[in-house]
Amino acid sequence: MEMKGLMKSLVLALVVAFVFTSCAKQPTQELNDTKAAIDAVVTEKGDIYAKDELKKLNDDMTAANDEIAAQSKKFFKKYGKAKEMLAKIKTDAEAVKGLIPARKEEAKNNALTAQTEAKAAVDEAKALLEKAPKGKGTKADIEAMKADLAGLETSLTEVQTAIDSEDYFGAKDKATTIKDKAVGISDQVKLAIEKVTGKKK
Amino acid sequence: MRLKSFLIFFLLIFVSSGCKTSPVPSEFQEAEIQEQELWRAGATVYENQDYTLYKQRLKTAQQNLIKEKAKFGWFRDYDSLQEELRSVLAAGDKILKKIQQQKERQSKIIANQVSLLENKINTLKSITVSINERGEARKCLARAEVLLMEVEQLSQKEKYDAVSKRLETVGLYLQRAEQVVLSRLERYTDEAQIRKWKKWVDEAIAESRAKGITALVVNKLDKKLIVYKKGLLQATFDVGLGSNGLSDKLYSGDNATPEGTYKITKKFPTTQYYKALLINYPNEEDKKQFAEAKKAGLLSPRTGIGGDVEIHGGGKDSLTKGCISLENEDMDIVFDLVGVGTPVTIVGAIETNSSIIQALKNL
Repeated sequence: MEMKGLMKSLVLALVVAFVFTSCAKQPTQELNDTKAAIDAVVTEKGDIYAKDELKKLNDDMTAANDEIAAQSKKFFKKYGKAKEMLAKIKTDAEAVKGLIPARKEEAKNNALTAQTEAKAAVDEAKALLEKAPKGKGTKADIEAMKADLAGLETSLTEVQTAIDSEDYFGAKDKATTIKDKAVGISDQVKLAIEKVTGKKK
Repeated sequence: MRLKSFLIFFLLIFVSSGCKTSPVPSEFQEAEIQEQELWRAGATVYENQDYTLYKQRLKTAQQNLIKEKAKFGWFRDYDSLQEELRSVLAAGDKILKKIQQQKERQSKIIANQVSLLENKINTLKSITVSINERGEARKCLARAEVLLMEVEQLSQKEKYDAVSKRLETVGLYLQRAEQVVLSRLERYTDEAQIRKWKKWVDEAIAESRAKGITALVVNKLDKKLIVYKKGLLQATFDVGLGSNGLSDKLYSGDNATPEGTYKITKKFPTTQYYKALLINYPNEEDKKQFAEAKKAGLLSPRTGIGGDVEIHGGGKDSLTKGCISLENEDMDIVFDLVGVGTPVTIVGAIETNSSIIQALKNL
């Protein structure tokens, strides 16, 4: 009878130990879901449009991983806190992902506006060059500016390439530069025309 | 009764001290803000090793804070934690300073590179103007300028990682522009060719001296028309050439200016381009070259040799189709100094280290 009691106690102890140690499994599913939510932010170019937010998500993820690692070393594992952390990160990631389209749209609109302005500036310079004297007697400066403008037109195609690859900030910067250069050429053409008309008088 | 009072007193002390929690050191928040600052400053790019270590230390401090917070109020002691955090903050300051120094260094390097490339662009631009290059070289230079402006903008925004690729592309555009310019000036770096041209000029001066006549010499690279009288230099004028003026004229429509020894065959006091002096292009040598080129199949059978090459007014910045143009007031002087039969020697250059070639060599 005493032996039977001892066995019973031993089995019970083993069951209890098993419940406390093995049943507390790592939150693998939650971990994968959260990672996927962060990856979705990265795919949406969060590193460009939600840089600070993405950093926070990654930091929080590191903290959650630390918590999981700390619990996994314990005899009595408790993953409740880690699960809570992961759930919050996942919710945050989804919210951040939701922010990106509007930011992207804004950047895209800015790039498109800059592109339109650059194209208008190039067209204006081209129109001015058309007005400039042609053929023999054409001022050398005008010919040089035509070549410069051709270079700018080629650069303008790179703006579209940047827009197509969703590099809206890069596209905007390039377009602004082209616009500035084209305006510079227009000013020079005007000066050159003035020079010619001045001489004719 | 006494025991009761003692117990109440003890309980009061316990409650007052147990519930009162020491404030978390303010350095904690400072460190969290600093960590964000470091990341924004680009710690992962510039000082990743130190930054990783810093983050580890901050994490340890955070864990220690949790441990400390878990203690009963009476036993909490943030002093050592505060010390630890101050040390972390000091390390963070050091990293930030290092990052700033690195950025300053990088910014200076970029500024130097931009300045060098700008100089190169300006030199090449002025050469393209001098040699009337209006094609690929100018296009390349325009694209290089756009990129260089982008580099400056990116540098101001401290986006140095995006700068290097652009600088590389600027270099490639400049290389191409340089190649185009060099190909146009290839003959002008050939010493044997220069010697030949120099000989023509020397002979023209000698003839002017021997016969006591006026002679004109046109130096295409320097864009100068020089008047000699009895072998002595009388005057120098700036001239303009065609879009392909540096090449030797071979056929009609090549926009090149002929090279050789010619004579003025006609003087026109009024033309479309003010006054004009017609020269006897093509001369015998030109005709021979043209025939050889045709024979070699370099020219189509319908191509003509061209003619009507003049020295005329209209302004030195005019783009001619092979003629030599001067400012009208200069044309007045030249027109009066020469007559029909005055020799005109047109050469590419008379020295190997002219300012343009020198500028090219210095690129």
